[in-house]
Amino acid sequence: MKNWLITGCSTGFGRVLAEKALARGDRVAATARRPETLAALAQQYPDTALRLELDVTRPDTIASAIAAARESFGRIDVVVNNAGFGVQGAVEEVSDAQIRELFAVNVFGVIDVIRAALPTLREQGGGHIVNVTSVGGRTSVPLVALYSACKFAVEGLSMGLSMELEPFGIKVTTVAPGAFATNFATRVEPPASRLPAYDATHDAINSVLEGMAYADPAGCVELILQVVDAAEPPRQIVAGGFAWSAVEQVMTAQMEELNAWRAVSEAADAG
Amino acid sequence: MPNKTWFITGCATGFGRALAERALARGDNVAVTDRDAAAVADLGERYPDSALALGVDVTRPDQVRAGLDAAFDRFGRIDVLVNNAGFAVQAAVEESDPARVRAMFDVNFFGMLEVIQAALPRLRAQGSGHIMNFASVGGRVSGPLMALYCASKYAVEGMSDGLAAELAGFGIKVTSIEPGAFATRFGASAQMPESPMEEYEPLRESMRSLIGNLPMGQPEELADALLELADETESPLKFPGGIDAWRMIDATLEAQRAEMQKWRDLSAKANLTALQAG
Repeated sequence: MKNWLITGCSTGFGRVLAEKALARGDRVAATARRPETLAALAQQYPDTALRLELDVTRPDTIASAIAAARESFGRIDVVVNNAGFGVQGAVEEVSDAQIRELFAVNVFGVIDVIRAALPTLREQGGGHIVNVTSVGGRTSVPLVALYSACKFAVEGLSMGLSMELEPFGIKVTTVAPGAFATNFATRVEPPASRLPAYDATHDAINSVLEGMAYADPAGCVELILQVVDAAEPPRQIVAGGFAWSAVEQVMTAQMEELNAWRAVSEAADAG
Repeated sequence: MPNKTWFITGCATGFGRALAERALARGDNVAVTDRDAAAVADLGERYPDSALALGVDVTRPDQVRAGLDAAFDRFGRIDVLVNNAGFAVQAAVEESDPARVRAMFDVNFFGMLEVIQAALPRLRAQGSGHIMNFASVGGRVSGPLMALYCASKYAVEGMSDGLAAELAGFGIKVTSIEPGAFATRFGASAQMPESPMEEYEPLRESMRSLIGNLPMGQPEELADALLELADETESPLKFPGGIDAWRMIDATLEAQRAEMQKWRDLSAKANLTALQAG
């Protein structure tokens, strides 16, 4: 039996993960900006579900949610940073305010939740931090460069963090989902302004997105359950076969480029 | 080789300084910028015909726009835009100060983006250009006590990869520059935690001895490699600076691929049930 704290449980992966974990008998501090969206969940599992307000951009709500989960469960085994949103637009089209908001939620929110949870995890002598990133955290494509920047940032954060926390028995895993039918699709904002120069790119990307098959989020949630149950969980895992292949292709291309330019790299500190 | 025109941020010391000096020495035009205008004034005096020394703080949009306006007015174009300004917070995530983390992203990421966004309309109009974004080997390989700095540099990599694809059609190239350990003021200027936690002291101690033993490259050598990159017709999306950086990135890619293979079956099972198309 595990005790969870999950951000962004009103819809999508967070919601399905909370439901599946509760269904198998775990205890879940299900959190959301608007906790009223979690009423049905709390009703269905009155003994094991804790419904809490947590807005990752508001440190006071982070602190109070973690305190409440710890108070109620005695410990927190798994912290899942799932809350997030996207903007679909060219780097040149996205406004400063949009970029700041993206990072406030997708990056600083994750850092702030982790920082607040760590004293509890260290004191109890272990735990698992699961950061939900995206296939876009491993590869970046046109019009999602800024969303990818956020998700790359969480991948980089998590890799160093996992080494930092190893001495304390705390594990860190990033889960990078590909295309899943979560409400995420509706939480992708358009850019603040559209530039005609990028119309063809928007058309091309939209037709790719429209042609994609979106998988049941339950499959990704099952992966997360297996990852937290594993004795030696991965540091990074991709959720979805197509996403796996896409990441593999990008890594192969990176290896090829690395080898092609080796001599120039080597000359850069040859002295 | 025809003269190139450069716009470089963070030229007071380190890579920015070395690159500006090398480019000027070979006869290129350079807008030499730094948040401290006085720190780059000497280059303006030494190369009155080819150097334009400007005060540009990348966290100040008005200064970024004014700097780019001045460079385009003076030289008519910018061939290579080098986003070099940056610094590190060196602290465990748990002991990090939220305001300092944000201040680091202000310079390393948001400031870089400000320069790129302000330059792009004119780069697109001229139909060519090369944007070199300073990431770090830490943009590909993260480590303990550097996780927050690496997060800002991973962000640079993720943005640059997508940006390169967005701009390919306009004749504009983008390269992430990934230096390893060099004799710059980078280490000395790293921000240590205000309230260090003793729980992380053993880690801090082992990192200190690790970093103390690293061979340091000379920034002038990396600068020469960047001149070469600027002259090539083809350019890499990512450029590790130095063989140590190259090896670390190579080893990390190998380890990541091995982990991916190990977990492949679980990865593939996750999307077996399709809910809807479109």
